[in-house]
Amino acid sequence: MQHSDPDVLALVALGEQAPVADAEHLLECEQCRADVDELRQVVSAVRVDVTAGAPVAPPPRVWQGIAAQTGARSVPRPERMAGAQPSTSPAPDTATAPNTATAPNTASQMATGPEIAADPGPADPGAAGPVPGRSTGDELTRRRGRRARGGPARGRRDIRVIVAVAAAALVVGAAGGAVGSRLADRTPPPATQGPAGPAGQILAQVQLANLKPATTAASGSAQVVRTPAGPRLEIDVARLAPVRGHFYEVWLIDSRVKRMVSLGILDGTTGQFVIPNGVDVSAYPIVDISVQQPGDPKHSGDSVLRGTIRT
Amino acid sequence: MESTVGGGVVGHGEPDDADVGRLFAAGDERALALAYERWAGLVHGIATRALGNTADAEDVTQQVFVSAWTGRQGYRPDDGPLPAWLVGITRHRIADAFARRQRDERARLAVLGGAAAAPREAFDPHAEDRVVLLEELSRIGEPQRGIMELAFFHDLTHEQISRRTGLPLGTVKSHIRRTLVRLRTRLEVDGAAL
Repeated sequence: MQHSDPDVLALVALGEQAPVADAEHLLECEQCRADVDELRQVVSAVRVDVTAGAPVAPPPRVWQGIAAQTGARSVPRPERMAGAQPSTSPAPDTATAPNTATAPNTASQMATGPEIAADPGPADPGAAGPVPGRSTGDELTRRRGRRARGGPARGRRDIRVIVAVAAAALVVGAAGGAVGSRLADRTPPPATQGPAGPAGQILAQVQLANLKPATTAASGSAQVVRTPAGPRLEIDVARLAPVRGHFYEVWLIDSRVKRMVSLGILDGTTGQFVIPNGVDVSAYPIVDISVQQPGDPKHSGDSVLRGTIRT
Repeated sequence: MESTVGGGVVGHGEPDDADVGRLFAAGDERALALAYERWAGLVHGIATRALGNTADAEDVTQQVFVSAWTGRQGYRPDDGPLPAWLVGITRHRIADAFARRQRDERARLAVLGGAAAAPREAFDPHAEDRVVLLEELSRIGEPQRGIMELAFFHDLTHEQISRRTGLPLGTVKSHIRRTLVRLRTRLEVDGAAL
């Protein structure tokens, strides 16, 4: 009996239909079935089941984050947002679409918009690649993964950096209440500040992820800027509430989360920090903002915001 | 107007969904806002149903549109509607978010000491494996990683993947098999180590 081509078994594990001969073979061959099952375990662990359903309009800050990261200048019209006005069908449905005349702002831009038409977008240069999924999120995920695997045995600080969420929750929890009143969202940086902005001075830019969404609504961004005096890291945060007896410190961390450099204390919502000689953001790509207690020069392990710079 | 982007498409009234897809693929910046208007609700709905009404869900929605935009070369309007492609990316981001939660949880338990075997499985039986597998997946080079993303999260067949990537069928098939075997091996090694 000739077994199925392993390539075919892999496709079957992914859910593809087997050619008839293979389907018949699989019925009678335990070994090939076992091979498929093994691979299927991999497939079902990676895939997640999602449910489509009623649209839910995201809060405005989500678009602001997107605009900040992509340099997009067009703006979605709230009255057009699905969720408020469902339009989830993949099928075109122009017949029922309200006329453009009801949508003043962007529509007129669109009609006239030669100045932005066919613009490949400021965030483009680093974005090559045949498939999606090269966001900073991927990077961070990967790094978190490495770090987690390092585990307590390999480097105590590794684990402290990611973890300590429990302790941190207590510290920042108090602040969370104060933040709850929700300050107005900050205006995202102008689109022209994108990585390929006209000034050419911004070398890289990253949104900082909130590591403690349960306790704080903090958000922020970081960018590497070239200045005549050398590279600087600019930090811009919002809703990062002061914590009594503590301060916020800005770090650059290497991708293995083994080494880190303190850039200084973040006072207020913005700051510009010297990137020291010998520290290259490609080697220290993780921007981290931690809650620190006076007297302890080490990273507290209590990080609030973090992002990974792509270079 | 097969894949042309002309004033004609957007000049007269609202572009239809297919137009938005073409504009998006062509890198017309207006298409990002248009796509967001139409499908941010779809994406965010899926994300909130998977992750709860949380900052994680907002992150996912944000990442989906950012990576869709920066990776728009990977979208071919002829191969399917833009929202379907966005849903594929959403599934990947949600898987990442689950894995991240699991890691945070694991780390939290490690700090609390001992009880690392807490019954998280009831919530998500694949959580531990997913952490390992997504990490391994993120380390795989191109074109294998892209191929697997299309197979895992966009549910494309190997023929569709071949069309989309321009790689020969045989190449796609063998990349898929080898990568799946690699992932399985990784799982075995990790399982043995734990």
